[in-house]
Amino acid sequence: MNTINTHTAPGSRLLSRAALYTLLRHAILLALAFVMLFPFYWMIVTSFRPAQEVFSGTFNWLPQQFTGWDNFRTALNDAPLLLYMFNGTIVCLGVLVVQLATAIPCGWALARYRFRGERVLFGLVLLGLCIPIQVPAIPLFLGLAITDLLNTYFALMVPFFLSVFAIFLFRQSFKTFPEDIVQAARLDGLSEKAILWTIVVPASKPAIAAFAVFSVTSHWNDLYWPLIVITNAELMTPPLGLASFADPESGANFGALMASATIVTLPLMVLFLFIQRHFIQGVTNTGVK
Amino acid sequence: MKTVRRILLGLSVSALCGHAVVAQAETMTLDVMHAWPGHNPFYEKVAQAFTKENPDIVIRFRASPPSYDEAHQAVLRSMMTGQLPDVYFSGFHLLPELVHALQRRKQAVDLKPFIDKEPAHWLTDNYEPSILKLAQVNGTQYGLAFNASTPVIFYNADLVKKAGGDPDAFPTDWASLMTLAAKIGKTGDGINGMAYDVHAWPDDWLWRALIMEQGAPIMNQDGKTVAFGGESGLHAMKKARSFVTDGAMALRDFDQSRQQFVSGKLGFIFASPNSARAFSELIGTRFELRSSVFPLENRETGKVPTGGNAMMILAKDDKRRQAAWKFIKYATGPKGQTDAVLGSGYMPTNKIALQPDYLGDFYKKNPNWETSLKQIQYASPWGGYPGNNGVQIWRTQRDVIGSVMRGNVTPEDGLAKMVEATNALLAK
Repeated sequence: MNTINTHTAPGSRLLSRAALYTLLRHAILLALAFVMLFPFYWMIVTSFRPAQEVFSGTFNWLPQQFTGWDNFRTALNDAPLLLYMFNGTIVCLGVLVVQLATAIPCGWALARYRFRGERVLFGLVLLGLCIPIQVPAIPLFLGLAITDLLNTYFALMVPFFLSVFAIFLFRQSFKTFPEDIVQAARLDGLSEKAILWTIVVPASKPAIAAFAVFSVTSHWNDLYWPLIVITNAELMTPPLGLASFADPESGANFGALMASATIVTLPLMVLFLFIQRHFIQGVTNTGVK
Repeated sequence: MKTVRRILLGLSVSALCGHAVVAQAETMTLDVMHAWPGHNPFYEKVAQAFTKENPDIVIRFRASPPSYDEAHQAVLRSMMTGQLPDVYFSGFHLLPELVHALQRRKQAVDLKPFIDKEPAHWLTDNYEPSILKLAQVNGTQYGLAFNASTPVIFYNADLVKKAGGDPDAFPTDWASLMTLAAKIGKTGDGINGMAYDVHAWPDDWLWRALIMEQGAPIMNQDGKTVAFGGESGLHAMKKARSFVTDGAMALRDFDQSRQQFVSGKLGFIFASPNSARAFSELIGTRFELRSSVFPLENRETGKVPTGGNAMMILAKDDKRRQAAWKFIKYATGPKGQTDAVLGSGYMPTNKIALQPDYLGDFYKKNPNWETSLKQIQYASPWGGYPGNNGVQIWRTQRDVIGSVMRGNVTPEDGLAKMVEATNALLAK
C-alpha cells in the first residue's frame, strides 16, 4: 500500500506527510522536554516565592509576590553551602581522577589483551556491578576507624576509587576502537602505554565524558556515605546543606530549600553543558561514526 | 596502631605538662550531636548563649543525621569505634535501647550523682515529674528532656465555620469531632474533613496515642507481649477505619496531608505542636489557623505519648562530664528552653520557663503555641519496644493499619495479624 502511494502521490502530499512526521516528532520531544524541565522551572520559581505561596489552591506560573534574593540569602547564611560545595568539588574531582586512572587501563586490557584470568576478571567486574555500597559499608567504616582516617576527605573518596561500572563502560567502548589504527601505531613504534593514552583515550572522550557526568552527579548528591564517615560538619558535602532546610519534623522552609537546591545543582548543570560540547567534539574528532 | 598512637599521645601530653595550668584556664570544646539538621539554628542559639555565660566551654556540633533513627545508628557506630560525642540528644523512644547498649559496655551515665550535688529543691523547681519520667529507664535518670511534644489538632477555622461549626468551641470529644469532619468533607470539591496519618507516620507515635488515650497499656506485665490484642486495640483499629469512612479522610502520605492542609483543602490535621511555625508561615493570610487539644477517649486515665528528645552524657572522663552537665542544666533550664521553644514550637520541658519573664507573655500572644501545654498533665513517656527491632516492628504494624484503614482487612483480622507479627519481633 505504502509503496504504491509514494509512487503515485504528488510531491506536495509527500512533503506534507514528512512535515506531519516532523511536527509529531517535535511535539513528542517537546512534551518530554517539558516533563524533564518543569521540575527545574518549579525549583527556580519556588526559590523566589514567599512561604504562603508555595502551596496554594490556585496555580500560578510566576510568583504573585516576588521575594528577590531573600531565600538565597537565607540559604547561604543558615547553612555553610559554599563550604559544602567546596568539599563536594574536592571529593568529586578526587574520585573521578583516580577512577579514570585505574579504570581506563583496566578497561583497555579487558577489551584488547588476551591473558590468563581475563574471563575471571571480567566476571568479577560484572559481579561487582551487583554489589551496592551498603553491603561493604560496615567493614569499610571499621577499617577507616582503626586506621584513624574517619573525618577526612580520603574517607569520603576511598570506597569509590575503583569503579567497576567505569571498567565495564570503558571496555565496551574500547572494543569498538578500530584495530587497524592500533596496529599502525605499533608499526610506528609507539609503546602500548602511549597508544592507550595518546590515541585511544582522546578518541574515547564521549565515553569518558558520559562516565564523568555519572560519577560526579552521584558523588555530589550522595548523603549516605558522608553521614557514615563524617561527623565533622566542616567536611560535609552539599546534600547536607539541603537537609538543613528539608525538615520533615517541623516542616520544611521550601523557599530556602529550593534556593539552596538551585545553588547546589548549578555547578552540575554548567558541567553538563560544558561536557555536552565535548560529546560532539569527541565524535567528530575520531572520525569513528 | 592504636596503642602506638596512645603512647605518642601520652608522651606529648606529659611533655606539655608544664603548660597544663595554662591549658586548664583555656576553653574546653564539647562534642555534641543531635538529629534533624533543620533544627541547627535553635541548637546553635542555645549553645552560643551558654558559652556566653560559660566562656570556658565551647559547644561544637557534629554534622546532624536527618532523623532520630539515623542519629541512633550513628551513635551506635561511634560506640563501636570509641568516638562517642560528649553530649547526645536521643529520641525518647530510642533512649531505652541506647541505654541498654551502653550498659553492655558499662558506659551508661546515670545523672543521679550530678543531680544530688545541686541544691535540694533544684530538681522539683525545674522539672515536672512527668517530664523527668520521659528520660528514665527502670527508674534511673539517664537524661533530661530538651524537646517535648504531644499530638495536637491544627484546624482551618474558615472551613469549620463554613461547615456550620463554631471555631471558638472546637470539639474536644471524638463523636462531635467526627461529625464535624464529615460536615467539612461535604463543603466542597476536593475538600477532606480530617487527617490522622497513622498509616504513613515515620514512627508509632500516632498509633500509641490511639491506645494510650483509652488509658490502656502498650505492653503486658511480662514485658514480652503487647497488651493491645484485645478490646483497646480493636477500638483503636475501628477508630482508624472510621476516620476514612466517617471523617472524610483521604489516605495520603503525611507530607502531602500537610500540603493539603496549608493550601486550605483539609479541615483539621493531627500533628506535632512544632508544626505551628511552618504552618503559619505557609498559610499566611489564606485562612485562620487555630489549634486544639487531643480529644481523649478516657478523661480519667487517658494519656498522650510524648515525642522529642533528651540530653544524655556520653563523655568518658570526669572533667568533660562535669562540663556536659553544665550544658545540660543550661539547655533544659529556663533560658535554654526559652530559646529552644521559640525556635522550634516544641513545648518547654522546664517549669520556670513558663513564667512571664521567659515564655509566659509569648504564650498569651500566641495561643496556637500554647495548646500542647494544656495537655501536659496527660503527657506520658513514649517507650520503645524491648529488643532492637523497633524500626521493623513499626513498619510491619503500619502496613497492617494501612490495609485496615483502606478497608482491605477487617479491624479484627488486622489486629490479630498485627499483634502476632509484633510479638514475634519482640525480644524474648
